[in-house]
Amino acid sequence: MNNQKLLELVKNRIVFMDGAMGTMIQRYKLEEKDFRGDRFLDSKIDLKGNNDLLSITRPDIIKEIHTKYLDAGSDIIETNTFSATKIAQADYELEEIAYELNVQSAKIAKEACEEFEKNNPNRQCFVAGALGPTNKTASISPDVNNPAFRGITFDELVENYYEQAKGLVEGGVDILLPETTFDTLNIKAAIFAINKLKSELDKDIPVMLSVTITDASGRTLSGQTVEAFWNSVKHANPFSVGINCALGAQEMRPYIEELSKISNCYVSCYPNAGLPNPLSDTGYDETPDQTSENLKEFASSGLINLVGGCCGTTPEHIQAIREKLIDIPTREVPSIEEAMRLSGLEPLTISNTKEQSQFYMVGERTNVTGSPRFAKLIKNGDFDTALNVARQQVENGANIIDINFDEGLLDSKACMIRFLNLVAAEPDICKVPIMIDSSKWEVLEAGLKCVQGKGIVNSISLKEGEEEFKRQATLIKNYGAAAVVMAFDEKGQAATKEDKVRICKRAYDILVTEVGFPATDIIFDPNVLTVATGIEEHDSYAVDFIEAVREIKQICPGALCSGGISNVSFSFRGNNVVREAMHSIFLFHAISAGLDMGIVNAGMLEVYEEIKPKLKEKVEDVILNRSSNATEDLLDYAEQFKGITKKAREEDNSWRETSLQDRITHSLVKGISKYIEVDVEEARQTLHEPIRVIEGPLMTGMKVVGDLFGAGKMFLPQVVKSARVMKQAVAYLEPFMDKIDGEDSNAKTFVIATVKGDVHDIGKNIVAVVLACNGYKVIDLGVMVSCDDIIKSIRENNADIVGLSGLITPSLDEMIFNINEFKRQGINIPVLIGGATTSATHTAVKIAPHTEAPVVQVGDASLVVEICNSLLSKNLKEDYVRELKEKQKGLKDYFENNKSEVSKIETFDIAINSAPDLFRDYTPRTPSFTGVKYFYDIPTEEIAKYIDWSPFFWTWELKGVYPNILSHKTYGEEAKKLFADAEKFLDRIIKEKIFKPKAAMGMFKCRRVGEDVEIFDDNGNTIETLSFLRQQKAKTKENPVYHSLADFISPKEDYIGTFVVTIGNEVEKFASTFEKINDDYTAILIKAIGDRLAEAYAELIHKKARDVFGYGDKDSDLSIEDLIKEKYEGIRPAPGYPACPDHTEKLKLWDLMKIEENLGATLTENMAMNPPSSVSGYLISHPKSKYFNILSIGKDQLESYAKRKKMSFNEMKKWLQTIYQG
Amino acid sequence: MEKLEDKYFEKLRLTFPEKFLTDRSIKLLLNACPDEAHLKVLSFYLGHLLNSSSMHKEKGRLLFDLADESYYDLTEWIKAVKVFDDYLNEHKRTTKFELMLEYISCSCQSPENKLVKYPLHDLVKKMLDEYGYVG
Repeated sequence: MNNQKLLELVKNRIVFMDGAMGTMIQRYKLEEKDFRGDRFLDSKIDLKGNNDLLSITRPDIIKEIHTKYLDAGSDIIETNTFSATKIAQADYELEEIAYELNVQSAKIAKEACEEFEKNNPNRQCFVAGALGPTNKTASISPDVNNPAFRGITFDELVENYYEQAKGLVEGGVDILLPETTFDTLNIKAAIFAINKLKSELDKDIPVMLSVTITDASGRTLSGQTVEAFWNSVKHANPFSVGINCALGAQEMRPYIEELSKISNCYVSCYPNAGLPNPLSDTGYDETPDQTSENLKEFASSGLINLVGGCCGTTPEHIQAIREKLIDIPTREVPSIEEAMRLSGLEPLTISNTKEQSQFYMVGERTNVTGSPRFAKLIKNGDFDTALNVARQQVENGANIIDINFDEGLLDSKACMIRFLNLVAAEPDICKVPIMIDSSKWEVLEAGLKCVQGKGIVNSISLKEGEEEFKRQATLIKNYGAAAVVMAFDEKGQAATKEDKVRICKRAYDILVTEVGFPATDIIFDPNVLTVATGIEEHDSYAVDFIEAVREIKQICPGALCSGGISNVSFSFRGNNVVREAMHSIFLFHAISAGLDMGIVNAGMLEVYEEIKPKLKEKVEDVILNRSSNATEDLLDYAEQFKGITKKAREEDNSWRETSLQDRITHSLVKGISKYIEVDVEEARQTLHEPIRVIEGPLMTGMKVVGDLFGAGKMFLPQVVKSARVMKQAVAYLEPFMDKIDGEDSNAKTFVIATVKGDVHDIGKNIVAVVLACNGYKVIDLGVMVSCDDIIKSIRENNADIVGLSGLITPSLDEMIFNINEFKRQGINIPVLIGGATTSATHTAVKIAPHTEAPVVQVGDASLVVEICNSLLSKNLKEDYVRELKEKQKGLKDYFENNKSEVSKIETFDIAINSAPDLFRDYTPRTPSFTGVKYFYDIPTEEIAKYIDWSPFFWTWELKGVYPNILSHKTYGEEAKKLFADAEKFLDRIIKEKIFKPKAAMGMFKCRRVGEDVEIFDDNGNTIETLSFLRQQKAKTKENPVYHSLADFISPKEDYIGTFVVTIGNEVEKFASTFEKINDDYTAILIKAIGDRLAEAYAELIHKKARDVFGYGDKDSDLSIEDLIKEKYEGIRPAPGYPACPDHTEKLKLWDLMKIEENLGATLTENMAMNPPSSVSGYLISHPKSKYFNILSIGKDQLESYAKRKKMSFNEMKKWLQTIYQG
Repeated sequence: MEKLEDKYFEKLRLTFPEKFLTDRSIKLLLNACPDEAHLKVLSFYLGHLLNSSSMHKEKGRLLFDLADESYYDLTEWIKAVKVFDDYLNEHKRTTKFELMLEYISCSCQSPENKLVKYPLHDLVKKMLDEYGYVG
């Protein structure tokens, strides 16, 4: 009855909704006691802010607000149930009253309406049951480190919404209104729950849907556009769809306009009163007059049928809106063209009309049955790289991506959920609709619960009978997806045209007439079967498919046709030339017959027009079954193409036909060593003197390299490869030269060294290579070089510039020492500073003031040539140095005058007292051993599985994250080559057992004493005391915790792990074999691999501590990528890093585990680990342990810490200078 | 001169739900704001943040949590927000508050700021000038 009244009202005029409930409640300035009432007096947590609860504790206020809106002119009022779900009430530990809240709130609203109608018999009022979005999102991970994680599942949302909707209906609402939708998957769950309720009650309840567009991007929080959202929820057949919240009317207009054009139901709009603005009189930007004026324009433009207000709007707003809009005609609902309307983050409309039809490609590479590479990645748990496969398909033009995990050894359902959740976090992939592909219904259904867009199920069929077919189709309809229907029935797969057409027509009739499935959501797959198998009856398979498509499109209006295209050519596996031609020709004819889409590998398609005529003729004979011996003919003809790869077809040696200079330049730029000696010899024959070859064509080529690098058109790995070719060329010429040194007598000399106490040299080596490539004579002194040796080399070589490198913080002091010594000994040449801890600011403020000579920090190897050239150029030097010094002085002055206000720190006592008790309900884990275990036999192959490759690319200044960097638009190509080289050498290192990784793992009984951790032997004797620091920087939280790693250790009895891993001296030795043959590229590559292996070994040792030695939860089901993202319990902090920044604690690890004797690894005087490819740290297993930054400490803590460590205050201050705020 | 807390507490309380900003949080913000101009900018972004998600509890804490785990106090953060807003206005751009805060948080960890600490608003300005903003 009420439905009919509502329909009549909305047909006749614009319908007015109410305004904000929260804003009105705020006006009452309620206190905690109002929220508690008598019933919740004993609540342990504050209830203030739980507005929905007021329906129970202050129903008088809620009813009064409803009445005010009715008085103002609202036709529809919303229940006070925005957060009345168990999920949202969990914040107040009031889950158990969720149902009651809904019933009660609906009753209050209904009572208000009835009383109002009694007093105003000319008015009809309706209650809309509000279903808020909840405070959780089903398609966004709340954990930035774990994009596959979800704080809520579709099923949990359905359960909550079902309960809410049921309560609202019981309380008497006329309409159900899922609103303020931030995440479409949440509202899809609400729709599913409402459909279930309607079906159970056998009652038609009008549903209004309302989405929130969060900002000017025009998208929901979960990333969908307005049209994509509408396509995703259209299956609800709503009474109305609209937009509310987040935006004011003005900002909302373009999205309302769009929705108004595309939706074939009524359109609602209830904007905020502009933005919250506490500085305005009303607390929001817009007055009633402004909001109503904006909405008047919407109505005059015919955009809306229902209108109201959201946050910040009041009865005054509603009254003004009603007054201005009551006489404006309501929007006419448009007739929308029938089409398949899918969505990812963006819409995809597939028109079925001949005029507008085009062919749509479904990417097939994310299918474990069709792509061995994808299958391998999934089996290895490498979902990140697998995502890359999906991304590449979209980039290659796939309109939809098919995802399939049907493989015996895989948990297909778990894989589907995980992969779809990961895809949802990648906007460049999930912008397209998803085709969820499986032969198992449970996998399909699990997939449907993960996608917010409107996807496609692939597939269902009549194979298991009509009842199951109808059940599945009904569910797909309720989930809001389209479906691929295979030409399959109880008797089996349709092979002939007649069977294909018969089965598809039968399925169509059932779906459309019995299930109510929209015809435009049906895609028939009449089975693409393999031809040219040698079996005569298979010869007509392709033509049967083509003709079946033609007929199905005629007799099943609205439905589309699709097929798995590569099936047609399976008989030619291994002959890609023929297969690609078959796909193109088959598609050409099938599309002409009406095929709308196909599962296609875009990389396996030849351009139809470019197929050789003879091949085209032979393939067409087979596809169209034009002669009885077509298969034989094609088989004979195809022999010539066997084994020809695309790469071979594309190899281009035309550059070998160019001039000698161009060939040499090409070899240098491309890093090709194959022809360089031949070309250099030709140059030597022409120019006679080797030096002229070097200074002529070779240097000309290297200049091109330098220019391209400087312009950002070449990347570091390429430049280092160029250097390798250059060195090869020079080495070839050496025997023909009388005196090598004479080769570049004009070259400027650059002395470079890693300073004393530091062993890291990858960055230094890269700088050396880049300079050598640009004509500098580089004297590389290696690592741990004393100041005396650097000075000696500067003098002996009459150096023009010196470079000082260092990775660890103490090296900065060593650099300052060097510079002071240079000055004292009268050396006044420019100094370059480099290394991860250096910065231009620190150099200006702390290093450069020690000398008159120019001191320049080099943050990027690509800049070093320009810097050196400027420092040595007669024309440029003066200006460059003047500008440098002015800049550095400016920075120094700035820091003297603008001390950052970072020193607000708590007293150490307060910080100590904030330490949480993490052991009240937790028993520490006991490892299966105490003492130290040494590992000498773990193969590199095992360690390599745990490599995090991203930092490897950063070493080469390729900025990005693995594996995405492999498809990066700028760096992708070079990253792929670099990675291929790394894999090649890693393979060799593994096979030849070149590296000898070693590790030590200690497990010690211990207890916390303040910020110290006392370590005991098995007899209970204290053998060491580890000292930690505590945060002191003041925090804003009411009861802040100032963290210390010691807090994660029990003050009673606990265990702590320690470890040191090293990949050994073999890394440097192996790299040096390449340095000797002038192959710096490979040498740097190997050291970078060594570093990665050291980090990977630390990961493996930590895993062993958990899985094998009982120090943590077993996490055998975690993939490598999950391990890299640290999704396990426990942490592995390292001395020198933010949570424990004191490098000197490493000494204790060395003593405890007798590292020097057992692993051969040492510590330098500056606490750098040697060999460089080494990692050390602690293992802590408390499940609440986490990484943090000590940030800053005060004098009180530093004094205490120095005393605990029995070191002088000044010595301690030196080691902790970066965090000390004295 | 009237304190910002005295002048604006009630208005902020009326505008922002308790779930989003507690009384204590509002007082902290008002006491940390150097002046009305900063409060205006901050209110604008808090308004956006309030409207952009139903997860009020988490969103309302974002600025405080990030400030707590950085070297800088709330005043420095609010000054940095103003600098960022000026940059956006100058470039006729807009952004989400969460992204702005993440950018500021990343700036805190820049290598340039490791050994000598810039005032946060200057650091953010330097980062914006040098690297721009693509969010």
